[in-house]
Amino acid sequence: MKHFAAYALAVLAATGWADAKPRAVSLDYCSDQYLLKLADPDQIAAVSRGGDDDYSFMRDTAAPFPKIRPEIQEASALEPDLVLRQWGGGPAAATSFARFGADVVSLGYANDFDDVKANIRMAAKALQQNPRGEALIADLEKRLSVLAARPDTNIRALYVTPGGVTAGAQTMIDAIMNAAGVVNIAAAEGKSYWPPLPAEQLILAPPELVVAGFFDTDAEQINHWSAARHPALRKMMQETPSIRLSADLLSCGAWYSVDAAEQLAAAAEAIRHEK
Amino acid sequence: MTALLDLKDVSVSIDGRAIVRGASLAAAPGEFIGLIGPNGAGKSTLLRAAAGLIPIDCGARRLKGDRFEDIPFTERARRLAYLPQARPIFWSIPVRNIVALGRFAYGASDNLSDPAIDRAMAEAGVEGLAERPAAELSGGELARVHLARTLAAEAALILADEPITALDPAHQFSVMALLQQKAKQDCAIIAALHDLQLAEKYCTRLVIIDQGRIVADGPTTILNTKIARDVFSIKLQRETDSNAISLAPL
Amino acid sequence: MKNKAGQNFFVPALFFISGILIFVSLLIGPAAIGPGGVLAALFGGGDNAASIIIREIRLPRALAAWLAGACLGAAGAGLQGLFRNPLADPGILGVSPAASLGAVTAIYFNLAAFAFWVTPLAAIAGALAATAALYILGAGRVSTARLILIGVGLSSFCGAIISLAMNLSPNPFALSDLINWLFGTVANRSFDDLALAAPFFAAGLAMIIFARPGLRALTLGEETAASLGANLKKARMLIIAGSAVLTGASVAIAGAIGFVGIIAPHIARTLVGHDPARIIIPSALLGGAILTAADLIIRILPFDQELKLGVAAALIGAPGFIWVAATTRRMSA
Repeated sequence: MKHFAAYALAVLAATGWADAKPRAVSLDYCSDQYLLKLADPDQIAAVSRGGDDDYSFMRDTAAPFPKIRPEIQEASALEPDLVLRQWGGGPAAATSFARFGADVVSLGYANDFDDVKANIRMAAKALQQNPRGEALIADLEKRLSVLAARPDTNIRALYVTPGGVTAGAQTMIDAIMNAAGVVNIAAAEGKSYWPPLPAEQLILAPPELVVAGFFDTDAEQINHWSAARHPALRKMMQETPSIRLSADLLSCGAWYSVDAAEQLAAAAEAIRHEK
Repeated sequence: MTALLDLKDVSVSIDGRAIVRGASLAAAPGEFIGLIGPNGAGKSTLLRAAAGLIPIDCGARRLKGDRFEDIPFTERARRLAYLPQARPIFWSIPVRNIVALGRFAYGASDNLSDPAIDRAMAEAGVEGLAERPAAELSGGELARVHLARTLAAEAALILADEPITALDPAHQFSVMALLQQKAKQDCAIIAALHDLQLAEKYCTRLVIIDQGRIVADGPTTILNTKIARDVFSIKLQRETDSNAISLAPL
Repeated sequence: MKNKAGQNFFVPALFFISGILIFVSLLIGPAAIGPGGVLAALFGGGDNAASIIIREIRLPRALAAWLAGACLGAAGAGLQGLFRNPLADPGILGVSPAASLGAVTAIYFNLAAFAFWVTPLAAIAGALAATAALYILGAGRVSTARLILIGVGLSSFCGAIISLAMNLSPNPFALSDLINWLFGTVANRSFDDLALAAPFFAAGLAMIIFARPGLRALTLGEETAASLGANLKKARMLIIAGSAVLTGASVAIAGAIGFVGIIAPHIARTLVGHDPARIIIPSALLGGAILTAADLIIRILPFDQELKLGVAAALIGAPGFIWVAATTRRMSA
């Protein structure tokens, strides 16, 4: 009897009646991260073209898989059961990609760690990988609580990019800085989202730590228009301790954002101890 | 006396078409030459060539004995003044400023109190319009302002392309009389004209051009019935006592 | 009619107005600094934060706006004289976008790393190519409408190539870069940038000033001007080169800004008369004042993201352009 049951199950599995996990494509490099982390290799039909770029955290894992553009024909040619996206395919993607019969799961734009956890849950559920998702969330929560347990250094930190833009409140960068226990100067000035560097405020109240993001990407050019070119600000930034966060930690809000928070907390504590 | 202008065997072609063929013409001070001919005969082109504004295919041009190529731009502008047929004015500057442009060759186009300007405006009868902007002038007023600009250069040689076309009869008479007067003041004037009667009455000499060639050149009596028929396709009759001419269709 | 005395009044008056606008600019910004503080910073030396803000952030910004505006005003006056057309303007005719394209090309091929003057020179090269093309395609010989259409085509083409460059660029901030090039801004300008642009302003303005007699003669058209003894070839080259240098300088310091080149000469004409030679310097001064005022306004507006300077110029200038276009009549005798 046992043999027969096993044999029957094997047949069922072979014919696909068994509980086969859905095959998925992802349409942009943020949803790529979740797909590559949570899915089994045979669930991944394709990832987006950004998947193996330098700013994709999971780029090594992405290497062997086919790459597609977020285009209906390319996606449907692979006959996926599931389309995972954040912004790829445009705002109407939910309906347009559903037309060829796949489930479309749209992850939200992650602005803080709660959003990240919600995304993990949503992706894991769609991929039928709930245990893996919960494990990832548990790890994330543990590391966040370790960070929270350390006393806040309250170092005044400024986030800069080559484009001369900083991150205010309601951004993942702000969440990372809060988790690391530093003060985000832009948020403290009441700014939200991605304002330009506030040159005057920086001269009035200079930062204690410069957090440099995206300075390691291919095109390391200081934008012609950036405040970072201004001699007064350049001088200030050269004289201030800084930490470089690599682009792959910053380009999407995801579980690895806590890596950035940990690096940042360590740098802030180093400065505090020197004072 | 050296001719002020001397054209020898000048030929001009534009876009491959010959417009003026082998024209020879000399103008001396005291002459008021009427350049007449039917439409398309080449009057404007000949005047442009005489003013040095277009290149010639062959022949020679001299101003006061010097070859055109040897005379610097500004010197040439002091010896001859040119009034074209198309006279755009692109900016609505006052009449005084327009006439002042006639003094350009003397480096004085912005000296608005140059007495030559007042003289020229008086001669052309536009001194009352001195401060009026160009946009407010009528066609006839503009024509006389352009004439004033030409006179302001006080050049010995004046080349005018249809100077009276836009004027009413009274002004036509007065401008022709003015040009006649200027000739007597030792200028040489070549004016392309359509009005045969006015040309015959006021000019000292007529040059008749047809299909690019000068077919007659001499005192006003050369305008006879035969030329009127062959060149202008009209009937001409000369009054024996008054010597005035009357014209009629063929 | 406006005689020489009129000009003698307006030129100093415009300098004075520009000075006032620049001073008021120094009072505006997130850090609250009063007139006393501004004066102390300008003349008293001092190294405190307020002085640094005034001297190194606000002052160069105000001067950059003025310089860019002056370049555009003079270039506009020059182009209008050359094309005998009151609607000519470096922005509309595509000269500014072409200058932006030159600068973007230099930067994204990393030529800018060679030397600090490569970027403005590349902007000037772009402006030169556009102006020469416009001239060859029909200065004064084609109708206004056709000239502007050619300019629009040139603008679109340059904008498209810049967008293509941004698309291909691996730089994730390329898009915000593009916006700055095509819409203009003087935020974050320093004295380094000014020192770079100022000589080009001087050179370009000098070239157009040398061409003034020719411009005046061109009032009567090319044929008459030539017969008057004007050296048209020299005048054309001086204007083309001069306005290209001016446009290139203004783009290098502030990006592509349109409409100042139309409005400044238009207002200058109402003040000092229509003589195309006489409006050159007043146009430069007016352009500077206009753009300084525009930059002042955008810094007062309480938006989170600062309005782009070129957008502000267009908001004021485009209706002005439409009005000029609708009311301009051509004259001929």
